[in-house]
Amino acid sequence: MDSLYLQSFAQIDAKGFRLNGKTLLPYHSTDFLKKIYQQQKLQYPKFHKMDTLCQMGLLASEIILKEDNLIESIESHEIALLFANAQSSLQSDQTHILNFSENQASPANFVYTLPNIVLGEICIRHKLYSETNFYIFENFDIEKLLKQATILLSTTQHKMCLLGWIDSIEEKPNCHLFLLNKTGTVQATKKHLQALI
Amino acid sequence: MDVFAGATAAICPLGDNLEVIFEQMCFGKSGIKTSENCFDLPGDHSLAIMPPGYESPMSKLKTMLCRSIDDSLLKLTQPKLLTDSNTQVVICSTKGEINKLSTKNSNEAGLYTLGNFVKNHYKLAHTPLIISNACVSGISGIINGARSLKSKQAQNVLVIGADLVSKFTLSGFLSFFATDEQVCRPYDSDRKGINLGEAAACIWMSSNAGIFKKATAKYLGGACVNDANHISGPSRTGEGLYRATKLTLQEANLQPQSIDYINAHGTATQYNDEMEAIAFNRLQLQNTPLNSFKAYLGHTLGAAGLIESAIALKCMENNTLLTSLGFKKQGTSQSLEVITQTRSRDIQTILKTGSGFGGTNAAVIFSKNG
Repeated sequence: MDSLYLQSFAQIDAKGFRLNGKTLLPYHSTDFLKKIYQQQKLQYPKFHKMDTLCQMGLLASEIILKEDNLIESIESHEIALLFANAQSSLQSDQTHILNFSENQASPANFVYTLPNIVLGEICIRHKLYSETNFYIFENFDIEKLLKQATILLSTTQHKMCLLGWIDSIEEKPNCHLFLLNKTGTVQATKKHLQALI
Repeated sequence: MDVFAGATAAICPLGDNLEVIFEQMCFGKSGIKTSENCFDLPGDHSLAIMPPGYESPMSKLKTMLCRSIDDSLLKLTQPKLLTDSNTQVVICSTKGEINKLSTKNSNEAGLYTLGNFVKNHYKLAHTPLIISNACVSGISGIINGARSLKSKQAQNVLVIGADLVSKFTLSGFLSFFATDEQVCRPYDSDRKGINLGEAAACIWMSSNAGIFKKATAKYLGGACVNDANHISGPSRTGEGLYRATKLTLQEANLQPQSIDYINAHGTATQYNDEMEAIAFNRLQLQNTPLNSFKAYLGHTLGAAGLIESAIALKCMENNTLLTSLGFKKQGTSQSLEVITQTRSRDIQTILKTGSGFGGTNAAVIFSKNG
């Protein structure tokens, strides 16, 4: 396969909550993720139990997969999910350390001490029986992410890939999800995606 | 394109190299020991922890990683291959050196530091690819590695898995009431949960059989499928494992009856083992000899897929089926052909599976080479 095509993208970061570059909600330093949830009129109580990583992933994937009813038009095994970050599940890890130092480890928190849980949450939400991989990169590296997506789409039966960088540093969201397709009009080059961040 | 696998190596409480580990397992030895108040956590804990002596001059996990890599290099015709620009290293781990993480210091514990360490220590041409896919990380690494070869992104791949037992993981699994105080009993009617274990292991994969002193196996296929059910509980229908195994059989172009032996996940939790029994019955694999290595090794988390694959490959090479330690009486609603006695059997093809938190399931198939 020579190239992949960008179908749509969603972002949650210091610039706000955006779909295909258009701001849907400007950034707000307090309860930003909750505000997106309310604005999008999501009714999914599990959201409130999730850690920041999962909340970001859920909100950003929701807007992409619901756009033009995409999720209704594809088979449940056609979209692979490849996410990466640098910090793994650091926030939940630190909460777990605090909890067990006080002899109060909590299963509700412990389960979030794995970075791939966000992929599971998205699959549960949309009933996706597809491949999920979580990678750890020291830095947000579009080229490396694209390479993994290209390998996956050229060697498996998936038709699309939701490719993402998802991190939160000092509680600031930094989530960029790209829906890549084997066909399309806008080539998903490193340069093009880089310009969107 | 053929993908060859070999130069396997491992280190765990049963031994410093794969050959010793395999020999110990043939004798029915377990690396799990029961002791009180480990990591100041009250009660009896059965864990597979390395004996003292691995903590210097490098940290325990780094020592284990290096010993396993060094051992694997001895099994290549040209150990220099590790630094070749056509070689990709993949590291699989759930928590890396999580024991170094405090609420104030996060720098040393980041998983990418393991990648940087291996890159600098061995002067690799590329930064390793790090996969953190819960308990299927190791199998995911093998699958990702094979695809790098098939898409010609690399000519050789070294897949490494490593995880430690720590207060972090033990306290978490205790809070789930998911551990057995005694040595775990996969698929048994009295099973109570997991024992944690630590290990590092390596498998080399290449499109060129000539890199191995002995190319023991061929990789025939692999797949990873989410079961979209619950973040900490497996699907009751085994949907993810069913689909992952089915895709793997398709890629390998094999019927279920061609599989001679299954090394399954078998964590000894109620739900996992039951889910596997359902999935394997749906796949018509209920009469294929099957075992779990968890009562020998403990659950080594991100390393499990690698060390267990490495040992399963050893079993294929030696035509040996190892008893599924800890199993006495069927404890799943549907039957499985759990191996109850270590014995010889011609093994041409093996299936390795795993499942983990976040709904991940993965399967790989290897066949004997030559």
